[in-house]
Amino acid sequence: MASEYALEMRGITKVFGSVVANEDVNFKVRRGEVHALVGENGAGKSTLMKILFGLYQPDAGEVFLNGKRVVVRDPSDAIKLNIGMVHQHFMLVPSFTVAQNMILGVEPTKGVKLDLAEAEERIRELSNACGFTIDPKARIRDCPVGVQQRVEIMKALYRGADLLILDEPTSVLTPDEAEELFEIMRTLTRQGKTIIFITHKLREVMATAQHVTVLRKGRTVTTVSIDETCEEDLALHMVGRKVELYSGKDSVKPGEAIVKVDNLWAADQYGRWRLRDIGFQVRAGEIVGIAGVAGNGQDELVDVLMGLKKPSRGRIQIDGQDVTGKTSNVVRSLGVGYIPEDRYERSMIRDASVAENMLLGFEHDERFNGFGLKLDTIRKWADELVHEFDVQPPLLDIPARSLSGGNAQRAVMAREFALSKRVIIACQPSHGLDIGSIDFVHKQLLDRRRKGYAIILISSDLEEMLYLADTIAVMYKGEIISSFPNRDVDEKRMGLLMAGVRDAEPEEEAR
Amino acid sequence: MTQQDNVWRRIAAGIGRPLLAIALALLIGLVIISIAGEDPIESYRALIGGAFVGRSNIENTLVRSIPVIASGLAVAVAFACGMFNMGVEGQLYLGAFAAAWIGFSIKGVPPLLHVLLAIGLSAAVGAAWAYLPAIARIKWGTSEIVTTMMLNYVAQYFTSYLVSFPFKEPGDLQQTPAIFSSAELYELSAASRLHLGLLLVVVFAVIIAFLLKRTALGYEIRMTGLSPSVSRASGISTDRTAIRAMLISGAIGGIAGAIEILGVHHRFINNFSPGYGWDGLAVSLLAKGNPIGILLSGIFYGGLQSGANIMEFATDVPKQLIDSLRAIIILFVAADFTGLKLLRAKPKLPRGGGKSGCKEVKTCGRSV
Repeated sequence: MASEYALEMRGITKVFGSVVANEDVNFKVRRGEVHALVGENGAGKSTLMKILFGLYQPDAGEVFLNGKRVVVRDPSDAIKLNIGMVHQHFMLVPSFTVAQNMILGVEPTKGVKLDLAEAEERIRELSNACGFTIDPKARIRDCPVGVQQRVEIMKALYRGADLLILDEPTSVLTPDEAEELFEIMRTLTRQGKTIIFITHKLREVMATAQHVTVLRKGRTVTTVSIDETCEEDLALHMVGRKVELYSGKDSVKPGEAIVKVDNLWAADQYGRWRLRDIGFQVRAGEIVGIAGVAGNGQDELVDVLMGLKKPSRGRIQIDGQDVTGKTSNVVRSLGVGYIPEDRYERSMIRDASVAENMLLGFEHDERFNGFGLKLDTIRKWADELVHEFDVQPPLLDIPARSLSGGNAQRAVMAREFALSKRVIIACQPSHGLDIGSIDFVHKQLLDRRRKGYAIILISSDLEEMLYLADTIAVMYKGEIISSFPNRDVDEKRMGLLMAGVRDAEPEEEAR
Repeated sequence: MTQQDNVWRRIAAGIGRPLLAIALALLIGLVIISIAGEDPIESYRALIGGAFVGRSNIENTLVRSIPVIASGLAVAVAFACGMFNMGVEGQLYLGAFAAAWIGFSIKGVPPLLHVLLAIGLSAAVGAAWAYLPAIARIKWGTSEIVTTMMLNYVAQYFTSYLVSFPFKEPGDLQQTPAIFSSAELYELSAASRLHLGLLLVVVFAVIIAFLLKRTALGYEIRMTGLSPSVSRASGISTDRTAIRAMLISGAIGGIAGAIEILGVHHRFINNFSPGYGWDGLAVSLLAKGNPIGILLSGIFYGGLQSGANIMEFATDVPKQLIDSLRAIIILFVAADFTGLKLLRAKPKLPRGGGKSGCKEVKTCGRSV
């Protein structure tokens, strides 16, 4: 008897070095449903899906398709098992036509000749069945993003997919395009296809899925039917329940405002607003937490503050100086320490030595630069930092890529704390770290707070936010929709805010 | 384990692979010579003897390596910053002409000053020529690999025009008048024309090594080359750094041409360079951009060239065989390079610039 589940993943565990990406994850998807898979960045969604698609091998656990145990060694196995994946970044050749892209790798032939006519015919059939029309002869580079995505979906269907994985498909779409995508998803499930829908956007989950599974820190938190949950519940499941109380910190009386942000607007490369009228202040000895589900403008806010992106409107003042639209070297020369989320994109050069990495941002410091760099002084200083922050192994000549995540983070903190005079911007500072390192990071941040630093903490981890922040601002779709002191914060209210429901106007629709 | 051990191990690791590439290439050459029915041992003895045995042979080798080393240093500075300056050949031609022009058009300047003026102008001209592709890359994202390479033709043909018409010395040859003796570089040996340029390139190699390893600018150049995104987030102005690296690179390229003119030819001769700029690319690759390594690989390359002449004379093996050997060496070294680059770039740039960049290096290695 065939199982009612199109897919069952049981006890999946996957470890990368010291990081557990998936731990005993169970994931069941009924045939013919849209099943949403949600969780913060790093919660283990992509790892799980990459295991399903054969890009990774699990360290433990089993995969069942339609009740039968399968082993997926690589993506071509997955395709043979009728699994299709639509990646977040499209894998299309821009100068090829829709049809040419569709058949890439599975070219239909007539003798030795490519049979494009046959392919074009199949594409028309497929697109009609999905309820939209598409011109097989159009070049990909001339197609809007929404159409390119349909081509990706059809590519998977063309290869015979019954189980479709859509990896954050709406992140590149306009609201209208997203609505059309949902319609296509409904049509497909009506035809018996099963869809796994990965997203952070809870509203979309509620609008399209029948069931939803929440992952957090590599584990399954829950699988529920849509009828039995709501956005606030899901938001809380994603970020974790409040366990630590606000009492863990000394009370510090905040001083003058060091960072002042006023009426800040910024757009992305497609001209969509990512920051809308952001305004807040951070005082000396205060930690302001920017909370919210990832992708609601937090990254853009940090980029604008750090001088890595120009705002369209508004004003940023740091320590009394106007730094609006200034470049990162100006911002950093004012002593702004920056602990980024993506270490190897922002703060650590993999192929440079630890000593060289410690010098980043200090190369013009007169302690280290006279007539040429004072290598001995630099080494001595780097050595002190490495020992003070207990970076293991405490070696200066090894390339930074050989440090583990926690130790790389310690090295970054050592440098940035040494660099910062009054301001620290920390983004997901404990992301991907083990418990010991998380504790270390938190202690260091609280220590700086005691010393009168103005600290901006961006975190999607609710526990961390409630533990560290003095003031919490919640971002939703590029706006700070509420900000309040971190006292008797009610979980339910946080959940509602993160889902975009404003205080005192709970029925407001998203624009 | 002491610091000393570490240094030696790093040096061994650094030169191990180039030496392996050279050994493999010589082995392939051995097979080819044998197939052609010649005596490989005899040929190699003539090659190596012709390059490095006896005073006049060594001096010829050194003369030949001077412009190659200078060009190699030019390539290395840009490469440290992640920029491919394939335009050294063009910068060398323009720099050479500028130096010659100062040399023959100004009279009565004190000797040292005359040389400095000539080298100064050639550096400025080379830097300006490298600035164009650098700024195009920064402003519009134009691949500097392509633009620097195409500007080579412009530069070379432009000097051809200058030497064929406005500045042509009366007579049959396409050359300018000779420079005044005040602009000539001091001759160390009359027989081989070995000149002070040798000392100059050694000094330049030391300066470049110091610049890259021991100055803030060099540090920023190297960090930008390793990771532009981290460097930018860390407050390094990556655009400005890349432009500076290209300016320095172009200036050295120009100086390479000046040294050759002031030291050897004493006038600008149409198409005087047999591809020094390209050889520079090869020796820089062989030395992995290490300035001191470039001194060695440059001399090795010069030796292959001068030894090849002797070998052709002494045996029936044509010197073109050595051209193929040099290409094979570069192919092996570049293969290693690209292999590493590809592995590293894979997650982010499946079809990105890094890959095509390395491909270009390989092609040019072959055309050397």
